[in-house]
Amino acid sequence: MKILIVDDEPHLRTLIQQTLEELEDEGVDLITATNGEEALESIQQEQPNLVFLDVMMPKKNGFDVCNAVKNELGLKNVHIVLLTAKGQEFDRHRGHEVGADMYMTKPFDPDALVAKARSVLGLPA
Amino acid sequence: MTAPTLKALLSSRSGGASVFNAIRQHLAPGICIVDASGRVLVGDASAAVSGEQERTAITHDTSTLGYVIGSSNQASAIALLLKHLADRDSENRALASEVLHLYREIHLIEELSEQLAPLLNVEAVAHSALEQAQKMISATYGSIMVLERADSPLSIAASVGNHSGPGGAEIASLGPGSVFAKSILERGIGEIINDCVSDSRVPFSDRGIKALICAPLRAGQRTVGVITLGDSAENASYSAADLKLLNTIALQTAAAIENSFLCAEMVETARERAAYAAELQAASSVQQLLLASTSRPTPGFRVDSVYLPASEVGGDFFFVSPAPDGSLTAILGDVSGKGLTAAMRVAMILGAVRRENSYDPGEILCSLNDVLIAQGQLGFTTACCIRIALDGQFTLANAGHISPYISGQELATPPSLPLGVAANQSYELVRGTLSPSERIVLLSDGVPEARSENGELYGFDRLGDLTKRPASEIAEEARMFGQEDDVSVLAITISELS
Repeated sequence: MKILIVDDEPHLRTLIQQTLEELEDEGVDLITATNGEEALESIQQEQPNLVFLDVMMPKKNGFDVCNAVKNELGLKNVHIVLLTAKGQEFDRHRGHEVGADMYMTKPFDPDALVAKARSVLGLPA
Repeated sequence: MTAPTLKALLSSRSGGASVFNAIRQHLAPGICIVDASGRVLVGDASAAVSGEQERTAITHDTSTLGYVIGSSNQASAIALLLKHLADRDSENRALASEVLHLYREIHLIEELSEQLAPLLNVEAVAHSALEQAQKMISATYGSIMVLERADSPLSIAASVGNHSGPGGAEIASLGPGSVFAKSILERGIGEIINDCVSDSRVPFSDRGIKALICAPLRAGQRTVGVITLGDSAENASYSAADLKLLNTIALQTAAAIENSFLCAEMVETARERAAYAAELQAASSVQQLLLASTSRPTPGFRVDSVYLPASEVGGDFFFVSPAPDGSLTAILGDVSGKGLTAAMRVAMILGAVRRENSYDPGEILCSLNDVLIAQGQLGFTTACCIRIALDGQFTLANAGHISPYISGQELATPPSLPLGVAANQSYELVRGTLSPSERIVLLSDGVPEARSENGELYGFDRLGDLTKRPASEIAEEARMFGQEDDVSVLAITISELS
């Protein structure tokens, strides 16, 4: 089982990794990408089960990546959670349009993040 | 927070891995790195197996993460490097952990805000806030106490945990008698007591609690209560960060409690208004019934009467009654004031009029005056009373009321005080004769005092002509012009002479 963490800010990647670290003992691999293009390559190569995808990124934003994954590549089984700034209703609507499975606002709730990962991967709560 | 592992440090994900990988290729032969369990992570596995090589521990805090096996000087330097990388990784993890903890707090605060927003009941707000506070700050006990008004005592709106302290005693520090809570109220600043044993504000019975934290609930300029948490765990203590968090919770809770108080006030006011409106409606019904029975048929006379109150209940009244000799006695008056008080006075006056044995207008007014003086009622009542015989001869007495009109002409009456102002009054009688073609009209000041939208008073100049019209038209004219006061019109005509 694999989780891909995509964020151009290194400290946020670290935070999400540290939040999900407990899952590594349960057979989950955590992989990271620093921008949209890298994310697309990684998704095609690694075929992660779950992607935490930041929206505002250089070289392809999160919406474009999600659209490419869900609609152009047809990888419907990759569960995508968009990470967006709080209160941006426009982002939510757009995320729905490109096929995102869920969105979370930043700063994220660590417990909700872990719970979502466990739910998608079928791990016990 | 999990401690770093040597494997994680040396993995490609670790920031330190890039540093180590740069020198990895330059490792001397025979050097290998193993983790604490002896598993080889880097280098020559045979060196680990042989057991003959020197082992340099890689430490972090008081733990040994692994060993660098090898006897060259490189081994010590590598162990030192790896120790440094472990220390740095640990610091980063601690920072990340702190940030994640803050993220959790932010979400719990947002959750609290969303929970409190729709609540309009003080107890519900307090329970929700206390529940959320316990998720963020370690506490065995807690309470929220509120002040309904600045001068009212504290009362418990919510409490959590076992409210009975050690030994079965109540936890005084969480209750309305708490010296600690009162000191917080007075000072208006939150505080921590981490040594409950030696603090004089914590009673001896509460010494089972190791630490207390309390913050005022301030909504703008007003303090509406306090929130207190206590922890009885061994080595329990609260920090400045806890107090800051509690103050944030207190701020949101205070606003929600203040809203609840305001809502309760509004509901109470609305109830009182509804009750008053119901009372007015009931009084209006009673008054309508009373006035409907004030005009008794009097053979030989035609009586037209109209009553238009300005609101639900009015202060005008009239009464028409036949005398034993066939004459008619009528009175029309206006009670000062408005609302239920005026309506009650009307009911009292009508009752007195019904009980009156005399049919003489002057005597009737004197009796009414005596009744009102005896009641000690505030205000005054104007009234005009007339007795008309079957042959048209009439006597009339006036107590400060508008003069009546006969066929459009004002009938002058001597000046006099209204009823209820001074005792022992007498009212001069005016005598005259009403012919069959004439009509006498008594009316209240609601007619001349009607005021149009542009402020024009109807006045007395037009009143003469107006009184030639039927009673209903007189009243309607006043209403259409701009009714501001009760309108009453009583028009009497002799229908036949004896």
